[in-house]
Amino acid sequence: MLAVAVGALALVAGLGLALPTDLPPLRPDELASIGSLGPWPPPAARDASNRVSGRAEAAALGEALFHSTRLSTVGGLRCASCHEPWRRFTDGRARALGAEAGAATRRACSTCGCSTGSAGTAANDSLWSQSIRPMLDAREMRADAAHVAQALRDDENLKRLYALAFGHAPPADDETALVDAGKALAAYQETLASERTPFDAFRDALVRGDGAAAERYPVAAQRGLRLFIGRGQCIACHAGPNFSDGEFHRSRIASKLHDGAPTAAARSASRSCWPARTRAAAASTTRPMPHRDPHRSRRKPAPSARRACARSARLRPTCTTAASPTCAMRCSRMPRSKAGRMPALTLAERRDLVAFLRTLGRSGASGAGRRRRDDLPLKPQRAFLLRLNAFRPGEGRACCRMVRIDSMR
Amino acid sequence: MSAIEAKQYDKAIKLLQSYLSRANDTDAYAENWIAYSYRKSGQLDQAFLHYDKALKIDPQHRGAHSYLGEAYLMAGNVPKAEEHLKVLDKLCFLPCTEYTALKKAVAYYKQNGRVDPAAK
Repeated sequence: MLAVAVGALALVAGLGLALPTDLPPLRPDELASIGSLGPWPPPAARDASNRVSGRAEAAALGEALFHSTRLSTVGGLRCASCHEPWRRFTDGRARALGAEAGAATRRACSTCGCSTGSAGTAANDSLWSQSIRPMLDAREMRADAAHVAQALRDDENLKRLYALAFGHAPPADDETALVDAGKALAAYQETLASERTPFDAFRDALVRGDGAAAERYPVAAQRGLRLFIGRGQCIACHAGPNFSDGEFHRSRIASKLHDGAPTAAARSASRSCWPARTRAAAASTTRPMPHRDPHRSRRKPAPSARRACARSARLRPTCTTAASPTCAMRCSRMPRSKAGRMPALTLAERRDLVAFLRTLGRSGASGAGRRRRDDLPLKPQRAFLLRLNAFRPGEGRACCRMVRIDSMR
Repeated sequence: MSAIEAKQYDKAIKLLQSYLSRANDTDAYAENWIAYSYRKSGQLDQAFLHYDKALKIDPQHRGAHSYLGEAYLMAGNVPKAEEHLKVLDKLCFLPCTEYTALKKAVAYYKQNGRVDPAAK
């Protein structure tokens, strides 16, 4: 009996030694970097280019417009068809449905968290102008200014809400009505913020100096965070409370064909958007260089690492942060520039990075065993098999992601 | 419920609005029923808004998925209706009434180009 007890104690001690709980204390520069990734949610900021930004009446009009089929000339198509609220304002597809099957060429990005500026694309630099774009796009809502203005004038509910938001009846000028509709939509989208995550609790605990609260953050995630802000240099682009610096970066990874060859756009961008002077500048730094040029309409800002699962079209039914392994893989390979090539991450480091990225989801790593309500469930037997196949002792919910990483080696 | 069963949709909408103002976005069933009332009274935009609210509260609400699919059919958007049919297929381990009803409605629409007037 004594031997068994001693054996058990030795096992526990051995396990304890094996667990890397003795991470070195964070250096001041690391603490500063982590502090810069918050607070979340950020304080509300008004869009200076939108006179109804921050007004509840405008948000109410925007909500009505967002769910209305009247903005589109295509039957039954509305903003919420692709930005479905129950799927975190995206539709879980690699390409949105659009006006007809195969018509749309873009993925429906989540409109959640727009107030932090993450929703802007290269083509539009404000949320309200970005909101107008799908309405006028022939591949999407296929409307025009006259159609939108007519909807505002004809629909009793929209007319009433417009008067409350703007203080007068819908204008006779179609262009003005279209811009006002975009501004109301932007005012609504500004109210959509993602929830706090386990990482935010950790970051706030560090800022407060609350060691006990900070200890609740998983060790693997802490190691991943150190990689994120340190050797991985992910923070170079995924900076700030929204994990995006909002700048436009050169990324060949995002512009590759299935066989790995760069697309024509990427080749063109590499030549014309990456002038010699910038290349020389890059030689002295590993930080990806933001660029502003005529070709920027092909680019998008660094996507926010928050809500990564909401953006993943292919994998989201199975994994709560399905995009994370992909992201970790990309992080471990990019950038490929001569001067800026980063050391490849080991499998264990990728796992740590994924563990960290998972804590940027709502339930995160601390929600082991809980299924997110807004993720579609698999059929039970398939979900069980996935869990069974993917099980790694001690890794909790990270399991199904680990399998994908293994297969991607 | 009795107002809806009696097809007094305006009355049902008023009663449900009064309840929902107190429920504070927590009752997916009430959102689903008010959306149903709006849909049956021909106010599709309001119906869409409340179906979305119901699904935001409970993304696995089978009734809301089924009825939202039917609303998309009423608006002429078959691909979205089929998308909700797929969702129901995943949600229902065994065949469920919501899945069967929407499947029937989609099939009818594809065959006749209009919504089944006898559909509930």
